[in-house]
Amino acid sequence: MAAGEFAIASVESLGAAAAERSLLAQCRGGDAAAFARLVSLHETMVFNLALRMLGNPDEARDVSQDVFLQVYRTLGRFEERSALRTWIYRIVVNLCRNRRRLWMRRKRDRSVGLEQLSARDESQLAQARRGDSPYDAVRRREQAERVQKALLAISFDHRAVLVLREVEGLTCEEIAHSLGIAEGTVKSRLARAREALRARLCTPEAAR
Amino acid sequence: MSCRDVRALFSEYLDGELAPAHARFLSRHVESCPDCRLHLDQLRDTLELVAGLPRESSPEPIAVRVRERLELESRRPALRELLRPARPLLRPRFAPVAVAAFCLMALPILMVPIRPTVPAPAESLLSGSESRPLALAPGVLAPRLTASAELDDALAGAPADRTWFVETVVTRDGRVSAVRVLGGDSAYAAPLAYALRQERFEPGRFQGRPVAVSLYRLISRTEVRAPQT
Repeated sequence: MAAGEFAIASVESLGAAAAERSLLAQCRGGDAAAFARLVSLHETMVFNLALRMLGNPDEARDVSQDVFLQVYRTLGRFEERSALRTWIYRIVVNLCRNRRRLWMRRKRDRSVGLEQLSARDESQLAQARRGDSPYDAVRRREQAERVQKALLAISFDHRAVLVLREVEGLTCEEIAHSLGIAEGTVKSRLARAREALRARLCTPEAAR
Repeated sequence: MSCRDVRALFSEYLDGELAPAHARFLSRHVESCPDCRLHLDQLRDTLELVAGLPRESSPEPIAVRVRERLELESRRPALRELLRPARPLLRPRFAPVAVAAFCLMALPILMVPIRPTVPAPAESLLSGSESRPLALAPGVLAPRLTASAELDDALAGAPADRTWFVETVVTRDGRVSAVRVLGGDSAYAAPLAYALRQERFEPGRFQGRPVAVSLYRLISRTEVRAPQT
């Protein structure tokens, strides 16, 4: 079993797994349209995970591209004993970690929270929730900025388990297999990550 | 059990993973302890905030850029052959003593950029903006490097004799607006791209005006050794 894979047992996932197998077979056969479908199926997930891990939309876009190029080049090593999604999560986190390490080495953390997002079309959030008033949309955006800033303030490892769990909705077992760590480690990291984020968001001293 | 011990169980409690007896104890404690109740409520609110982060869209369609890069690579089979790691049979064989001697004499690793000339399609001469940069062609004055990238740092840890094929777009004001690693070990693509973005140039020119130019380069990692005596 390749690193990052794990067995899926849920009945409801069998149909999706069969469709995924078919898509993978087409991709391996050199079907460009199939690979484009694979990318479009996962690009939002990949981009959002990279965005939450790095806090910068341009960096997240670049990492997302690299993720799919790596998927394309290493598809032969994926043994299909797990959901493709789980395998991709691992690639995203690893590439984000590489990029983060480079920043740390240079001591130039270029992450800018969601300030760059706020420069983008503000109507995006309002459009996402059409019932919202402009005030609600602004409030939601400010809240998202505050949460993203707090996420970037906790350690990379803690952020990874927290985002995979709370945003992507993975189980601790799935996270363990995605990150290649023990399930017990996931749970302890998750507890520490949650507490660190609570302290950042709920205590005035930490928020400063 | 102290409040501190109780709070250490909150994460598992929220996930429903505590044993029933522990969960009952914790519930009773929280009902009677305002500080722990507040702490637990804050933790719940925090998780709701994270889960409620909006789903964003990429500033540019990722699928399109991935397809472009793959198409470009597929049009360059010779290049892919060139970028393939050297086969063991082709690697120089040294006696252990000679290897040790070489290691002692080895000079620092140097990054050697090579710039092959890429013929420009005629239609590209019609532009020169950042979105349609010119390729190097007769009449196009190449950008001149004024501040180089710290490639040693970016490729630290990369095995020797690796090569990357890179496209860099140099803007009309001499900055690097885009870097695409078109071939080579993808594990180093991100740091390499990041480092190359820090380069600065005297901009390229066409018919006297500054133009955006695409540079295609082979970046090699080469160990320079002292000659044998």
